[in-house]
Amino acid sequence: MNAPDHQMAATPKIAMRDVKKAFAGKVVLDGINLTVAPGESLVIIGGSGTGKSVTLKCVLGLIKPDSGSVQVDGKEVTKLSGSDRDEMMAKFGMLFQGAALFDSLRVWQNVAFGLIQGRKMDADQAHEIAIKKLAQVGLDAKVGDLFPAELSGGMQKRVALARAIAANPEIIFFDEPTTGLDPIMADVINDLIVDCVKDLGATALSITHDMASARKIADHVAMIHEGRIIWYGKVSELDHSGNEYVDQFIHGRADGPITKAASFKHL
Amino acid sequence: MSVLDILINYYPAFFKGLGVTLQLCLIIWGSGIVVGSALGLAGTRSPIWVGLPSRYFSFFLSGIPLLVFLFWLHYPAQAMFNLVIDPFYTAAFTLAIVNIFGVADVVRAALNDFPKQYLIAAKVTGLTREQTVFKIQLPLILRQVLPPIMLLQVAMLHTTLFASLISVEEIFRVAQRINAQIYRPVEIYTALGVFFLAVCLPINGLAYWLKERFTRNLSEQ
Repeated sequence: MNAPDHQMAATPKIAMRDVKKAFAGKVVLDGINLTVAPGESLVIIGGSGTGKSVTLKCVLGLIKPDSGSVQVDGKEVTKLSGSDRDEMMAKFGMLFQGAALFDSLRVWQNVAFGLIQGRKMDADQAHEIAIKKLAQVGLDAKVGDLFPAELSGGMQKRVALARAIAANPEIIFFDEPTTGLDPIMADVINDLIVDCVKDLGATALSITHDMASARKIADHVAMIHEGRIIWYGKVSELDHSGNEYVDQFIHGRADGPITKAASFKHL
Repeated sequence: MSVLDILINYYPAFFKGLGVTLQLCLIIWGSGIVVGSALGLAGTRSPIWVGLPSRYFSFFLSGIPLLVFLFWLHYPAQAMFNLVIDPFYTAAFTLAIVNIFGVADVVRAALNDFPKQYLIAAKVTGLTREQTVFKIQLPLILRQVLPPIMLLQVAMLHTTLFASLISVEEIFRVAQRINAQIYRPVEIYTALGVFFLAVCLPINGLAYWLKERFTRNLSEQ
């Protein structure tokens, strides 16, 4: 089953069509079809090794698919190079699973890094924006002068979120945004994600295992299994998907079609 | 005769020996850091036929006691090739080889462990390849490898004492000679310890400070 194009009257923000990718003969993406409308928040769920991260990297242009098409705002990402590629990357912001803060830089420099290095913004102006973005994610200006190693995991995630939104991106990618956080802090981060995406009017594409996070931040959910989208629907339909794979995954059951398929592979 | 008397009476000899020790160190440290870093980089970035031999040689070397390696190069190897090499250079060469592959191991491990997320973050941030190398990779890797490399250099300084066993007139051999004349082992070797502490402590302290400063993780606090 593929993500339907029903909502795509206008040009979709992100469109993947029949995207295939294999590494050393192992098929990771086996014909992904996915569309994300402008302003929509799509969350891709699925087990480890099912192709979530590779899907994300294909959209970011970090991995070139073996075949198929990946378009952002109607432009083919796989064929971009040079300034066209830089222009495309300027539309993106990303929150990484492990925050990926540069520990040699102070917090404000981490947030402003892309503005100063990538967009050649004046350091004072970038500092001002960084402090505003930190405030937006609930961090005091004093935190800006600390180093990432001096922050707790939750604060690091907030900083990473501030960095992701620093350049007011049109599309924000969230890679396992709540991994490593306690449930309360995870919920705080989820709320911040929702607020930030709404404030920016951005399109969001997230991958996660965390169903609480998916329910909170998604408009639509797509489930990926063995490199294919096996279910797509509104987040409100998740509990009545009628798909036994989705059902097993969202309830975190050890027995079900996902584990059965995996055990057959080892025979 | 106290330790202070020994230091006062024999300081010219000690300083001469210390000079030889530091000359050895300069060769060992310089070659180890420059060639070792290059080999470490080659071990991760270059084609497999460049990186693989360095990894295998490093593995092979780790199985040979330093003293055996030193003696083998000093006696059998020179006899086999009918060579007579100044023991200073034999010691410098042997210890430099050990340091080169030690540094290469540290650099290779740091490069292999470098989190790919940083590189993706750099790309998403819009950095060029050069900016990514100089603004992100190099500073992070330097901070990671600096403490272990400094501790390794202190360990290499300690191993220069082995050079005395093939008649290199470094500080330990000087201490042995003084002891042979006046037989005051406690005072002499304590004085030797003072010299080593004076050189090693600041380097050790700096390495530990760097380690504490840059590798601490307060996420659970």
